[in-house]
Amino acid sequence: MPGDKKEIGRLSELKPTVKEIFFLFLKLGILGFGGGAALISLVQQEVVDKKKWLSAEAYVKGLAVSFIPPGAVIVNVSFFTGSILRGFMGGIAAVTGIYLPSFFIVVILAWIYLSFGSISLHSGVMSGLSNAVAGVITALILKMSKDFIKDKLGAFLLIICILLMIFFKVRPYVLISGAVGFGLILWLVIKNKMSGSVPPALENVAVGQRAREDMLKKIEKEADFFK
Amino acid sequence: MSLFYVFKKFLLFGFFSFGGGYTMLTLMQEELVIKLRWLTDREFLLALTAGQISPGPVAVAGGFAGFLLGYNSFHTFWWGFLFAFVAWIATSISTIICMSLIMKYYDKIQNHQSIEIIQKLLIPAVIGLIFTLGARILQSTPLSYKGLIIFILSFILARSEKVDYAFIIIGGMAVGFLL
Repeated sequence: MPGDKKEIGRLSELKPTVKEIFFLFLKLGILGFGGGAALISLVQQEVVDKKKWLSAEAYVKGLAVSFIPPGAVIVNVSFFTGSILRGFMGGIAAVTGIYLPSFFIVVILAWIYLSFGSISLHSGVMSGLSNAVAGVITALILKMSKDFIKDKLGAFLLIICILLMIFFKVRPYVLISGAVGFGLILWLVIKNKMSGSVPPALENVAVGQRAREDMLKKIEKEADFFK
Repeated sequence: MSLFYVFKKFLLFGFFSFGGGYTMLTLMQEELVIKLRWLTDREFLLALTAGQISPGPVAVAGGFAGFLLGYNSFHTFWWGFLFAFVAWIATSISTIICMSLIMKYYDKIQNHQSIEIIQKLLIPAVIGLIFTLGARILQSTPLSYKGLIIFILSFILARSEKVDYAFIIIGGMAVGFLL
């Protein structure tokens, strides 16, 4: 039972039934326009602030692990919330609830498109649509880069990934498997090195610090000289 | 195309969609539009739009794609519905399995060094993938001044983070219709 884990966080005494979980997430699935970040905070408002099913701490912890596995983050968070409250069936209820409204809307939209849309969607609408979507995706890319790429190494890797896909036709599956596989190998290498007496990376840092201190002393001396 | 084949494809989309719904959309575009040619660029764009303008997760675009696949093969509403349902379930399986495992081994996984390293590598890969998604959409659109204006306006609006993506996309369609 995942719900028994104390590390995940304190639970409130209120324990909803599977049915209650399903209907709350169904409501969120109807209200949660825009997906992504907006939906994540909406779930938090309902589950933590209004219903008080989870502590804020537990929700944040759930959110942190929801970025790890594949799949939409919001669906992962929903599964986390449901299953911490009512085990596996609670998780299923939450995922079903959050998906169901948009699933039916999407099916109806597809049905409308196949029945009428192929005739009535004229080129202006399609051009407006694709340019708007491309604009939104460009903004999304910038936002993600700003939020998640913090150092030069990340920026370098991003450029490498884009070049690999455009010029070497590396396929998405290959790129993702490559990132995961290479990460695992890198981790194994680092772990093996760390098990030795002095980790070389730390030694370098120490040397760097000593050098900086020496430099500071030198500057101070020179400053004294000019006084 | 068989239902089982569609199930297998969407199952893989689920298990490879690190980073969320837009990664899944890129995989769908790559497989269903570019490689297998089961969907046209236009149909895929509509699936993405449906996923974005409906409430809930963007990944539900898979349901739209599934419906088109089923309907194109068997030409009835219920076959479309069945394919959409199978696509939806298949993309959700990864969440259920991976999250169950993560919660079971929570104390081991949390702050594990290997995950930090993998994420460092995955994030640029995911952003790169989404870049190709946008590039392909622009590539399949005829260039025009009106289009460029809509592109720039929607970029600015989306960047401001004050307007929901759904309204920007619907606005883009409306402007395209009026101009």
